Amino acid sequence: MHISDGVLSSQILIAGNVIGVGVLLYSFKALQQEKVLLCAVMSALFFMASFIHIPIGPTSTHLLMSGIVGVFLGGGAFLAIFVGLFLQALLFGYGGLSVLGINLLIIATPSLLAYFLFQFKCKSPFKQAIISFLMGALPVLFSALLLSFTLAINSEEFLSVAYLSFFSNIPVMLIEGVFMVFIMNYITKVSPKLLERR
Amino acid sequence: MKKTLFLLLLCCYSLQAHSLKVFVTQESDTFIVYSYFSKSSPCKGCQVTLFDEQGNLFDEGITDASGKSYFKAKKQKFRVIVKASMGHQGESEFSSQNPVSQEEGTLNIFLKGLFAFGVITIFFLFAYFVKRKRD
Repeated sequence: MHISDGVLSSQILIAGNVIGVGVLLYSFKALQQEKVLLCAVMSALFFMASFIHIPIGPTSTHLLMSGIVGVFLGGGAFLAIFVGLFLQALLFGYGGLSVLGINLLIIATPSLLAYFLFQFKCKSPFKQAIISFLMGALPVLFSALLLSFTLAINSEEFLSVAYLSFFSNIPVMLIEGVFMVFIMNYITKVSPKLLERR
Repeated sequence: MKKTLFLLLLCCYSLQAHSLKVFVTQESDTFIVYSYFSKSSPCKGCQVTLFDEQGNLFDEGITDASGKSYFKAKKQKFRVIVKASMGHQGESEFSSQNPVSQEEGTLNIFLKGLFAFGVITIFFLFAYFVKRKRD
């Protein structure tokens, strides 16, 4: 899901970084003191998720967990994901430093979907499970779409890579959806206070 | 004269249509080599060879039906040559912007992970105190 350095044109990089800085500042300003610890935990979770690789044919992809970050943090997801992305680029070469802004927008923006879906409460366990699945799957789907779109507008020659990037993230989408169902079910039983709607 | 020039230009254009284009991208720790004659004509079953900066062969493969072949990232900078049938050949140079580690030990990854958690802790502790001060 990460775009590497040297792939995108400078126009896209500059636009992405400028917008990224803006949303980051807003995210930091809006972060409440009592949410800072949760933000740190979510950042660590996001960082670790990239190490869980899923082999898909000749290539491989990795988990994102942007859905769960979005559920708990809302707009604060941008800050948590940014710290994770920065450390991944610096220490392990995942993505890159010049494309931090773009990667942040690709991964963090769809996590807001999970936050909005979380506001819907259903009494039916089956419907709640469906919503939980969508909370995990849709952020990955839209991140894959954004990634493919970014590659496609970068250059026509990237179109085939854009298709490959999109389809290789479908298994991740399904896995994260299932994970989210189990996670939400577990938290509802163990610590329902964490899931208070806001 | 004009007819000759026109025919010459036409020949050059059609030659260009048969040139093999080679394209390399990187996705995480995988290099993707994509080669085609034209968008609708990928280079299927073509031999792909990777050479390091010293000219030594370090990896090779065959393109699939969509003209792509995948390699584990082993070198930072390399040259790729794709050979198709009937003497067609294309090459490209690629330089990875990301550090390519040969084989990273488990201890090294563990230490980097610990360092990352340390940075996350320090950063959010700083954020906590900044927020507390404002409140």
